[in-house]
Amino acid sequence: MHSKVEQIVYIVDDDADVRDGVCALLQSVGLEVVALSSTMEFLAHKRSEGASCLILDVRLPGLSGLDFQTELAKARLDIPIIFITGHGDIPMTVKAMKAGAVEFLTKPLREQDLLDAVRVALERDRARHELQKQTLSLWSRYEALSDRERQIMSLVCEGLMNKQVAAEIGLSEVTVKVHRHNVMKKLDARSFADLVRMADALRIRGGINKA
Amino acid sequence: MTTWFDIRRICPAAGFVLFLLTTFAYAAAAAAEPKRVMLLHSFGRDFKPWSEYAKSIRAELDRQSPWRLDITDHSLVSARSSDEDPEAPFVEYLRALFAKQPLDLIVSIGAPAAAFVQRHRQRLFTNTPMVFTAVEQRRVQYSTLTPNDAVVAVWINYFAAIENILRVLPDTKNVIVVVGTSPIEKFWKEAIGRESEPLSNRIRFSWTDHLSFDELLKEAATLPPQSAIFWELMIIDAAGVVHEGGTPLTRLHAVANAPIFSYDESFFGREIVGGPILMVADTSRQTASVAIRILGGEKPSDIHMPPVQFARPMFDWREMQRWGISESRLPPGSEIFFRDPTAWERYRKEILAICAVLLAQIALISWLIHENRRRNRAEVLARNSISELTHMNRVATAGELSASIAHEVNQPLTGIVARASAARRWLAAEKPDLGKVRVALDQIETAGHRASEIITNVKSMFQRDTQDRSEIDVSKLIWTVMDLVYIDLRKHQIELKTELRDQLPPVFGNRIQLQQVILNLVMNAMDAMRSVQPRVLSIKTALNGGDGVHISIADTGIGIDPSNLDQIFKPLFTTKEHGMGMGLSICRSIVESHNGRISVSAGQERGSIFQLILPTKGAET
Repeated sequence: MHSKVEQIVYIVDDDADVRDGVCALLQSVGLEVVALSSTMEFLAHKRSEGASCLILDVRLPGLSGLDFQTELAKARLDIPIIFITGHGDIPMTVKAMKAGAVEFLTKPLREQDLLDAVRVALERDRARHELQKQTLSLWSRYEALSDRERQIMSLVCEGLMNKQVAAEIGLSEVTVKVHRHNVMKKLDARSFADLVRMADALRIRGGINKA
Repeated sequence: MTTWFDIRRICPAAGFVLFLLTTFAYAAAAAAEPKRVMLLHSFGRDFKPWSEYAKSIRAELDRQSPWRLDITDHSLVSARSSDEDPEAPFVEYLRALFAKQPLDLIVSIGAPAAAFVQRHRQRLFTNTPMVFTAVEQRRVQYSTLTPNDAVVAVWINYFAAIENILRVLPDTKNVIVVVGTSPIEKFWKEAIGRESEPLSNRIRFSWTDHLSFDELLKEAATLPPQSAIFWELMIIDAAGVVHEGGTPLTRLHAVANAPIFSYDESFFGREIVGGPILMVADTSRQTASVAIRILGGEKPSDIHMPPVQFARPMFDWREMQRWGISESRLPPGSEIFFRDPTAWERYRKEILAICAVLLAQIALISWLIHENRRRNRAEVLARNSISELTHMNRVATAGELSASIAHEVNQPLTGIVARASAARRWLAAEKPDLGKVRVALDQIETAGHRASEIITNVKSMFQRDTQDRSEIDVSKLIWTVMDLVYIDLRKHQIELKTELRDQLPPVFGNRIQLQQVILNLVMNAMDAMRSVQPRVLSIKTALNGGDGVHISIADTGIGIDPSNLDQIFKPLFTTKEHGMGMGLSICRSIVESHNGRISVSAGQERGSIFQLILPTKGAET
C-alpha cells in the first residue's frame, strides 16, 4: 500500500481553448492534469496507478465521447467519466449517466460544478481502487485454503450448523470445528459475519462451489 | 306523218322574218348616218374668248348627243375688218362645200359669226337651223331672226365689272380699258364707255385703241399709281396687227404695273385679278342642249333661253396677294382660286408621315419606358423575393447549424470561464502565482477575440441581406464559410481539401449572398457524403480566363442521378426527405444576379462537382 495518494485528471478535448482552460483551472486547485486532444492519445497514454478520472468532450472528431465511453466499458477500462459538451440534450445526458458517467456538464463550465464532479469522480475511482485492492488480497488468502476448508466455509456461510455440516460431509463435529477455525484464521475473519461478507465478495455463497 | 314540216306554213313566216330584217337594217343605216353640225367661228379658232367657247361647246355636244355627230369648224376672217368684200369668196366656198351634204345645224360662235350667217341666210342656209351662241345680247339682230334661229346670248354687265374694280381696290383712279380697233372692239369701247358713265366721277377711263400693242405694253409698264387695267379685247391693234389666243394678255400681264381685270372665264387663270365672271361652261351647256333639241326636231324659234349672266365672283389668290387685296374686300360668295397651298396642303403626306413616325416613336418610347419601369419593378420584386427566399434559406441553414454555432461559440467561452476561475484561485493562493495569472489573462483575451470573431461571422452570414455590393476576395469568403462548418466536417469525419488561390481579382458582389451560395453547396456536399466512405470535400478557386473567378466544390458523395442533372437548379426540386427544394435554385438566382454561371457535373469517380464562374470586377459590364 502506498501512503502517497496519487490522482490524475485526464482531459480530452480537441479544442485547445477548452482543453487549456480546464487544465489551468484544475491545476489552480492543485490537481495533476493531463491534457489530450483525442481519444487515441488517451488510449496511448500510460494510465496512472492512482485514482484518476476523465473529462471528455462529447463532440470529438471520429468516435464521439459517448461512443468512446462504450468502448472503454467493453475493454473493462474503468475510469469515471465527466462529460462536457457545448450543446447537450436530455437523451444524450441520460445515455451517458446510465452508462456510468459521473456528471454531464455543459460549456461553459461552472467552476464549482466541475471541481465537485472531479472530486466525486476521483473519490469514486479511489474507492474502486480500494475495493479492488481488498478483493485481490482476499482472493490470495482464499487461494491458501484447502479444498476441505473451502467446502466447510461454503456450507457454513450458507447457514448450516457445525453438526449439520459434519453430517453432510461425514466428518465428526470436532473436525469441522477445527477446519472452521482454520478458515477464520487464514482468511483473517474477525467474526462469522465477517466471513459471510468475504464469501459474498468472493461470490461463493450458494454459488460457485455448490454446484 | 310522212313529212317533218308543212311547207305551206313555213313560207309566210319566212317572209315576215325577211321583212323585219330589212326594216332593222334600214333603221340601223339611218342611225349610223351622223348629224352634220358646223361650228362657225368669228375670228379664227384661236381667238380668246371664243376659242374656249368652241372647245367647250364641242365637248358638251359630244357629251349630250344621242346621235353620232359630224362637227366641222369654219372661221370668218372678215370680222377682223369692217370691209365686207372678203365675205363673198367665203360664202361661195361654204355653198360649194355644203351643196351636196346639207348641214343639220349651224352653231355660230360670237357676234360676227352670228351677223354673217344672218346676212347670208337666204343664199346659203335657207332651211338649216341655227344657234347663235357666245353672243352678247346687244349684238343680236333679233329683228332678222327666222323661225330656224335660236339664240343663246350672254349679258355682260359692264357696270358691275367696273364697279368690282372699285370694290376690291377702292383707291383706283385710272382704268385703262384694253380694246383694239376691229369693229366689234369699237362697238364694245362705246358700250363700256356708256355703261360705266355713272362711275366717271370716280374713275378716269382711258382706251388703248389708238396704241399699237407694243406701245400699249410700254404704257402699261409705267402706269401711275392707283391704276387698273380692264381687259376687254385685243384682236387687232392700232398698228393693224392681229393678236391671237391668250398671248397678248399674258404679255401685258408680264409687264403691267397695275392689276388687270376682266369678266370672262377664258381669261381667268393667271393674269386677271377676278370679279364677276361669265362662265364658259354655262353658255356651252345651254348651247349644246339647245342644239340637241333642234337636232331632235324642235322648232328653233320655239326655244327661248334667257341670256347667260355673270356667275358668282371668282378671284385669283395670287393676284390678290400681288396687289394687296384682302379677302374681306371681296364680294360675298366669292370663290378664291389658285390659293397657294398652305404647308398642310402642300406637304400633307409628308406631314402625316412625320406625325405618324413621331407618334410611332412616342408610342415606342412610352412603351419602352413602361416596359423598363415594369421590368425594374419586376426586378425589385424578384430581388426582394430572392432576398426573402435566401433569407428563409439562411434561417433554415442557421437552424441546421445552430448546434455547431453554439458549440463554436461555447468553446472559447469555456476556455475563458475556466481560465478566469483558475486565475482567481492563483491570486487567492497564499503565494499568488502572478506569472500564471498573466498567462491566463492573455489567453482569456485571445479566446474572447476568437468568440467575438465567430459571432461576427455568424451574424454576417445570417443577417437579412442588403443590396450592398462590395469587392470580395472569393478565397477569403470561402474560408469564413468553412470556419462555420468546420465542426460539422469533423463531426462527420469529412476530409477537407482546399486549393484556394491567393490574390484572385476581386468579385463585385453581395458578400452575404455569395457566402450563402458556398454554404449551401458545402452543406449539400456534406449531406451527400453522409452514407459513404471516404468522405472528401474539395474546394478550389482559380482564375477563369482573364475576366472571372472559377470555384469548384467537389464531393465524394452519392452523386446526382443523371436524369436529374438539368432539374436540380429548378425551384422546389429536391431529393432530400425534408428539403424545401430551394437551396440550389437560390444559389442559381444569386449567381445569375452576379452575372455568373453555376453548373453541376458528375465527379471523376463518385460524387458531384459544382462549378461557379463569377465575373471579376474588371469584367463586369
